[in-house]
Amino acid sequence: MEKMEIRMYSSVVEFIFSSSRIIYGDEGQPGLEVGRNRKNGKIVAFMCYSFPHLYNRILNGLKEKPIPGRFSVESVDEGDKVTAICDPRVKNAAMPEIVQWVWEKYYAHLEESITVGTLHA
Amino acid sequence: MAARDFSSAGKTFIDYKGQLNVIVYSILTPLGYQAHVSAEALGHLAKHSVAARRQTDIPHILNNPDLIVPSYEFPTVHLYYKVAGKILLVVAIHQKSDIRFVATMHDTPAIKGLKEKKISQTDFLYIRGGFQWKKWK
Repeated sequence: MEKMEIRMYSSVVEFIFSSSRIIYGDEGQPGLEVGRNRKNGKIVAFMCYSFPHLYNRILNGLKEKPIPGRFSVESVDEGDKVTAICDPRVKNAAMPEIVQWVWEKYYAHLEESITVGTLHA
Repeated sequence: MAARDFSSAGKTFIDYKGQLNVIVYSILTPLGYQAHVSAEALGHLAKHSVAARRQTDIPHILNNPDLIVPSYEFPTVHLYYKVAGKILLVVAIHQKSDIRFVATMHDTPAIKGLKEKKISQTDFLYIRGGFQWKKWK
């Protein structure tokens, strides 16, 4: 099981499980760039350029092309604060569970507020 | 180095996560819009080894890119590419309302979606004369 740090800025979300020098590229994983260790080529991270817009694409992509392994989210870095994570939902979790957790905890309420704003416009 | 425009410095915008961003400087891009660089974005980039080292290149990349393409997965994200030796540097620009701003920066071995034919030359928003884009599939 890999320990994972999640970093967010705006709609960019990174799922990092090694702090080595990362080179990101498109390897056909829907919605996600694959981050590899520049020295040994090992996969050490995933990144989404626009998580709230690509959330469904990521989840569907994980069904078609699963990312193996299980992960334990240790912290979430939102830029202005880093939060240690104790939520059992993202301990020893598969990638789809973590993606869903990020959506529900950090982005779903923003979409609701946009929808409400539109309805009242 | 490209001239940084400080006329919007101190102004704020709200990003996709609802966070308040304070503009540090802006860069006029070849697409004719200003891309804003916020203190919050620079803070995010500072945590990445590549981006932290290359932060000072952002104005040059945005003002003199080799290639600009939309992300085929979400085309309002514009990807600015610049060759840096054997790799490409890419700066991702987000748009929210009328505001365009730097979201992230990293190095990459290839132009996103080119090898898989998710994008083609007709999708390019800007290409610098002489740029050998076919080398970066």
